[in-house]
Amino acid sequence: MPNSANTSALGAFRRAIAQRQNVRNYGVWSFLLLSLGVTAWFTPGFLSWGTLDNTLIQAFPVLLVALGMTMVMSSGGIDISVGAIMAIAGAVSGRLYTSNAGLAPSVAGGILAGGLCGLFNGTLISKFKIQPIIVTLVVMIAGRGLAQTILGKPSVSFSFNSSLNVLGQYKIAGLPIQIVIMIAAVAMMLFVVKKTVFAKHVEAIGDNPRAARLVGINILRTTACVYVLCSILCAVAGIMKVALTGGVNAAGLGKFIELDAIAAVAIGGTSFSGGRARIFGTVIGAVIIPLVTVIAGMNDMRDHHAMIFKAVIVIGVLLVRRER
Amino acid sequence: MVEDCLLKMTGICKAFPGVKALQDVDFSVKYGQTHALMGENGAGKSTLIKVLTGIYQKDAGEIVFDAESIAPTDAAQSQHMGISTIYQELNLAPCLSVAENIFIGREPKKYGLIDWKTIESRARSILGDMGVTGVNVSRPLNEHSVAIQQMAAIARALSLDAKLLVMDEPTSSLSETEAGLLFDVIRRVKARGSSVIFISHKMSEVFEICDTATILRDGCLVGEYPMADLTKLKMVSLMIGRDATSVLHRKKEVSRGLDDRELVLKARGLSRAHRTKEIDIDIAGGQILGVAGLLGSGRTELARILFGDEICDGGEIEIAGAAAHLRTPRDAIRLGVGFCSEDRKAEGVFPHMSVMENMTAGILGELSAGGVLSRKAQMQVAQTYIDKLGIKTSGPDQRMGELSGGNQQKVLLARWLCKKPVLMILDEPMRGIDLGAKSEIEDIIADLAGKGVAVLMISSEMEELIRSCDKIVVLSEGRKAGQLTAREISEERIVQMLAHGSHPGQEAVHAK
Repeated sequence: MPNSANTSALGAFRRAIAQRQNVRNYGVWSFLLLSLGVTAWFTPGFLSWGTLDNTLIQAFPVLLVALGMTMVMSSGGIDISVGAIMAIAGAVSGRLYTSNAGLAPSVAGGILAGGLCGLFNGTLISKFKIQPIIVTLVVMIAGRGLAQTILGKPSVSFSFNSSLNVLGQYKIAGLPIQIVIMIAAVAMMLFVVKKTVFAKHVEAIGDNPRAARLVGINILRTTACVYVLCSILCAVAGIMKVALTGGVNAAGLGKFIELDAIAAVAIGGTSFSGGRARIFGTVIGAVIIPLVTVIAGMNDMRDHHAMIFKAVIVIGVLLVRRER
Repeated sequence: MVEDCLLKMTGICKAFPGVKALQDVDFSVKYGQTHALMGENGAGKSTLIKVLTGIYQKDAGEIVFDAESIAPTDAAQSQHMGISTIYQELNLAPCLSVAENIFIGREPKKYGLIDWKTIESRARSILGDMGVTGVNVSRPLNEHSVAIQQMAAIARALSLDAKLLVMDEPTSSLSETEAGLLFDVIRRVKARGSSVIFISHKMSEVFEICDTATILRDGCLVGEYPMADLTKLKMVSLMIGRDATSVLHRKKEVSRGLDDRELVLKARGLSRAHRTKEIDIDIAGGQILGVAGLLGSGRTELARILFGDEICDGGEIEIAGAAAHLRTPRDAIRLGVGFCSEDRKAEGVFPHMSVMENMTAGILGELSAGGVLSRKAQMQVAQTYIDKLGIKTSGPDQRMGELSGGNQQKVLLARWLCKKPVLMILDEPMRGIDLGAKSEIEDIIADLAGKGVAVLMISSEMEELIRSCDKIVVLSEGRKAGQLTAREISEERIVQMLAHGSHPGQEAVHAK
């Protein structure tokens, strides 16, 4: 084979790879735009502020949890206890609030409880080297029991004009507080991932844990921090959900959110085997999932049909994104 | 023309970005022949084998196997044609039984279920044909010695009707008796009419077992010689392309009275489990200490103990005059120790991260304020070392996984250079690196020592040690078999010490 033909073949191969990369990088965006376009065409009244508001508020807990999950998965781990941690944080806040502890201490208590759950996860995973999926599976099951125990009864609710409920309905400059928190959380995580030593250490651990140890990265502390960070985001999601709905249902709060969150991270392109944390991708993923639910609702789709519809969409996006 | 060649490869060319790994190489193996493929590391032996077995695709040339032109595209295909490879690291399933490993993927079945009786009796008979008896074939593979595991791999190949067996360094982890057993098996394989390609660094084995040798150098064919026409010295000269005696000369000028300098590392009686026993090591600032030893001699364990990656059961370590209690690599790093692992891929690189991130992974704390990284400072460090070490990369942001082995190794060296270590431990720093980059890395190491850093360098390539080191410690079976000062270093002396092991003959008593 003449040499020039060989190099041009190599060049073509490289270009094909590069294009493949483009499909992976921009595929999700185009998919989002395309599905939005199609839905807008078929769904009367889709393009309205109401829909946007509705979608974003539904996306709120998924997004917060998925942001945490992105870091966990970037470190090469997984956290399926996120829903249970939402419930624990919600239960602690609710219990404190009903015992007249006041708004700020109730919220702080819930966040602290979430953080402690993360510390528990992180310690078992990094110090005692138990598989993340096992540790968080245990917390997922036992945690929900704990949440119900803390709350003391199946559910509590607050009056419409209680300060906790007012917090949930609060608007800042016309924007619902959930959206403001969401923007702040995304901005914070973008900063963390792009700029901090912590995130680089997390990515390094996810990319090659042996090399990370030999280069002197504090794996114990970093891993523990990842799970604490994820749990605190879950706690905020749980507490805000309680505030929005004006009540705590310890058995149902955050149930199955781990699936949505993991799907969002996967759609966003963070690898399951660790490495680069893709915050923007996660944001898109976390918006696509509730969007599908909203679209289904606006088209009078039944709930159980909507679930199947959602699964189809998730698989579709993952096919576009799949790595060879 | 009568075709007496089982395999005929002609005009094989293979290039990788930046390296011509094979240039117009001819290689042929006759029926029923044991053929040695010889050359230094990086000569193109493994590339040639990978082209043959379909792991790499050739750029040009022709392969004729058993009178048919072939172009395998993967290992399974070449195996199907009758070419089986026994690798250094066996690609078997360690937790399955010996019998299962031999028949994996084509288990004899009865009523749709695996027929264990047949599988085990057939496994026994295949091993028996090879002259290997007394193996419990129903026990998991990893409960047997490496030698038996290798036999299982060969048995598997034979049961697949392999016409050509490729053995890549098959004896590297075998004892002498085990190697003898392997040679018996090879002779039987030959008697059956199959051919063997034998790759080994151990010259004496090649002379013992092979009929013919093909020698490669820098990706080119040097020639094919009947073993009867060769002597060890002649073979070495052909492999390195220069007069053997001149090459083995040291690159370094002999000794500079470094022993009088203050010791950076003083280790006494290092022991761990059964793998290292009572090892003493001294290295002065600016000194390069070579550690020679075969696989399993405890050389890598020694490096890991000194870096805190493995904890020693006994012994004392002093680094720069202070007692060191190393429980994790972080402890060692804090005292100024750096370490490059022998396995770059598994323990060195972050493949999906950038060159810059790989280089600065250990100093992110110093390049940041309040946990926030300065990209500018990172860039500066990366660019400095890219220029200084001549790292070939499209820029600091290139993905590490895309770099060649030699350039990856330079990045990993830079990772420690930028930490300014007092003691640098290098485990096989030149493994799998092409010749040009090798000599550059040698220079980097010499430069490091020139700045007063103590260097401990492990290598299985004697020439590398002889060229670079001020002092060589020879390990054998976990013990220090001896030590050679600059004036005493010669390949002969090292080989003697390696051979005599922990039962020192008169030469090996040089240990103090």
